[in-house]
Amino acid sequence: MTTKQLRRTPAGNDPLAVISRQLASYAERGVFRSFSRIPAAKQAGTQTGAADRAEFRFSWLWNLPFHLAFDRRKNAITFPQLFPNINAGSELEAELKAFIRKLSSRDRPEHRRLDPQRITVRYSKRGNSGSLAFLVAGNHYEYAVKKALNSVHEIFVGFLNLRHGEYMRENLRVPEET
Amino acid sequence: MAKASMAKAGERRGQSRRNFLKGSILSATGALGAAKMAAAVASSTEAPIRLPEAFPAALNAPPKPAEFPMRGSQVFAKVCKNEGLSALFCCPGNYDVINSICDEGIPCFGGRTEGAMCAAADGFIRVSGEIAACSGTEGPGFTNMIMNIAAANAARTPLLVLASNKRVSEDDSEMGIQTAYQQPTTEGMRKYGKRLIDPNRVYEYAAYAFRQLRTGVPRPVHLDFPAEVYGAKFKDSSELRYYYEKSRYRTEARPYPDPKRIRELAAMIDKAQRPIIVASTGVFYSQAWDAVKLVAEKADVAVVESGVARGQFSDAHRLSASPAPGALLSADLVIFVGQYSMPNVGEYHFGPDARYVRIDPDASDIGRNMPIELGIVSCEKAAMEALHEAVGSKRRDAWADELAAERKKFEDENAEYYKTGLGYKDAVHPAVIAQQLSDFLYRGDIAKEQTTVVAGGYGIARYTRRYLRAYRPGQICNGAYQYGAIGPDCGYAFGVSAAVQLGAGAQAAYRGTPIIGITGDAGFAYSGMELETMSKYKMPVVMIVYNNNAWGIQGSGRAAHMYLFQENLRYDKIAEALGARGEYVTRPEEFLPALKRSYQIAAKERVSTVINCQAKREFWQRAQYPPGFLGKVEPGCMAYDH
Repeated sequence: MTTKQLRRTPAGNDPLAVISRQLASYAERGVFRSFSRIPAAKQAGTQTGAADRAEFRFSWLWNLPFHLAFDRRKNAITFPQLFPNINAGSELEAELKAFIRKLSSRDRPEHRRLDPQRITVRYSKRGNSGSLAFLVAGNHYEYAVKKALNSVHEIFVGFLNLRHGEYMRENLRVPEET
Repeated sequence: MAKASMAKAGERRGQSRRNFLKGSILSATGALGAAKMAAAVASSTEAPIRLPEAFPAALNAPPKPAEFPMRGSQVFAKVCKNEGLSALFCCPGNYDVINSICDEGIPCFGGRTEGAMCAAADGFIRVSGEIAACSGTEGPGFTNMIMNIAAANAARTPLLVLASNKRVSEDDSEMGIQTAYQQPTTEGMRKYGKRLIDPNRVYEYAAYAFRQLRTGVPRPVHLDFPAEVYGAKFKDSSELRYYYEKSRYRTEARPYPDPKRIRELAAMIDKAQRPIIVASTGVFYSQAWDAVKLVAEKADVAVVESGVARGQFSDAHRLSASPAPGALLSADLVIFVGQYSMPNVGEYHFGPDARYVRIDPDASDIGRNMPIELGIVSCEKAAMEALHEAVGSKRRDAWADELAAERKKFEDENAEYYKTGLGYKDAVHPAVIAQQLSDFLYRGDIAKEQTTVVAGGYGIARYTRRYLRAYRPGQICNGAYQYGAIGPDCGYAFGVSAAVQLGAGAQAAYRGTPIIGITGDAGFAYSGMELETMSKYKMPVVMIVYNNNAWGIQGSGRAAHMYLFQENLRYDKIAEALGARGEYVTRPEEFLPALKRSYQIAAKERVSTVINCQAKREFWQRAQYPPGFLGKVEPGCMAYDH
């Protein structure tokens, strides 16, 4: 499904429609490029039914490919395998987890904080890859998409790029010097 | 600072390369003979480094402006003078042109490599806002400049690049030496270029050059002078096909913004909670800094800097976000003003919900890389003045408080790095250099606005940029900037110092003060010989060389040897051998005294110094020596790529 088709998605409060519209708005503004919804047949192996799950691909920060999934049953927006090659127990992983925890800290300005009444974030690990899941409380889907994207942006730009440039270069091919 | 001029320039006019070299060789032979004689008299005494008597005599000689009848080079030089060309940086070659420019009374400087002199002209322009030129002889002299022409192009510098070129009548013959097709070489790294081939159009093409340099978004302009052009003789102006006063061949008019779009922007600012202006290169060249400040203060809009020079908006201002990188993610409206080198999504820190407005004189660039909500085609200064009229007064105390908190957080983090750096006793950690330099420049006896700094180097810059501050326009020259060249720093330092000594443009109030240059050991190799040029012209430069025995990027395994230098090399001794001072700093506590001594001597005696700071390459290893090699946040004080 293309951005154009997504725009035709009927308006409504259906979580998937809200999330699709919200993501499409970033593509329309040029924040995302090459934005598409992955057809159900091609979605990553899952037992969840097609109606309960949607996956999206887009190019975003440094033109890197991003993959976002929404699972209706879990009410979760997930960035699967967002962090490749993270060694368990490494300093990077420990710092990353600490950074993620602080996203909800009351030390942060309100507009930069995750409101735990509306969204919580979880880091998980499968193999050598780390994933992020944003669990939506109630029907705060619009808020959740916005906060999830802002959080991922901050993790990449304000944490990994600032403190772990080598990781970014080696694992995500972010350009530095050739 | 006395205006520089070449010795007996008139006598050299028309001199062939062969005669020039012959004269030089004879002089050198004489000098060698004298040296041998002196050695025989006092075999244990080294001959002192000294300036030849002809040098000050030439520097103090009065200008000799040309009048008709004139040669092509003199006609060109006359246009340069009328256009206010502020300085020429060159090595010998292109003789007729450089001598004619010198005779017109334009300050001229001769250095050791054309490449470094090209960087000097770039640095001069980037802190003064004035136009300067560089020149090299045809072929090798010209091609030596290439890296730094490309750097100037990426920096959008209005640099006039001059070179001689073979006779048109000798095209394709390989007659003699130095044959080169020069114009194609700068394709892709200039705004305009022309090999002049028709002698009686020399004035016309000089006009072309300055029209390009003084309008729109700047970039280098490259002119080649074949012998038929620079040597042509003109009895009077009737022999020139095109000869007008400058107001006839270009305009001072600037593009003004569409009032409707300015009103739209004012409304967007009014609606925004945390608006921010990115004051970039175009703010500096259009001298829009006062207008930016008026807009910011009227509507409580934050300002963060980017671009080739810093100081358009004081870091000390309550609305400054340059030393508050953590605040950038909060901005909901971003107004790019004169951001000529545009970042891509992810390269700037702003979050995904930020809306973008771009103000630029070039409509064809608006919308490139970053999505925009509104584009305004305008001279930056005109747009800011119009916006000041249109925008409503508003207080955004919460936003100002957030900026203050983020500035403090950043300073606290820097202080923590400094504390860590001080703990490494057997070499000088970059945080020590950065913090102590910052304290010396901004929190000591010197007025914080006074000292202009060339913030160069590679790894060291990841630290120094965090601690350097700018309080007035042109206070920091941002290294090689987007082109990322390692090596022009000593060239930049020479040009920046020349601008300060002359009090050119934005440096007028700081005329005669010392400057600080920062570079690495890798970079020093490319332009370190210009310490001799600094000494020759008595430039008060304190050049800090971060010596970590290696290139900035380190190799591993079998390839490692390609990335390593011999350890403990003595760049301070190179400086001494070139007529400057050297300071050798191997422990943290030695840096500040060395800096104070060097600055004082620069101020009082106009002597340059290299402070060789012995570090270690392992400082970039985070696990071994935290905090290791640092990342950066852009825009703001760390900005370099855009």
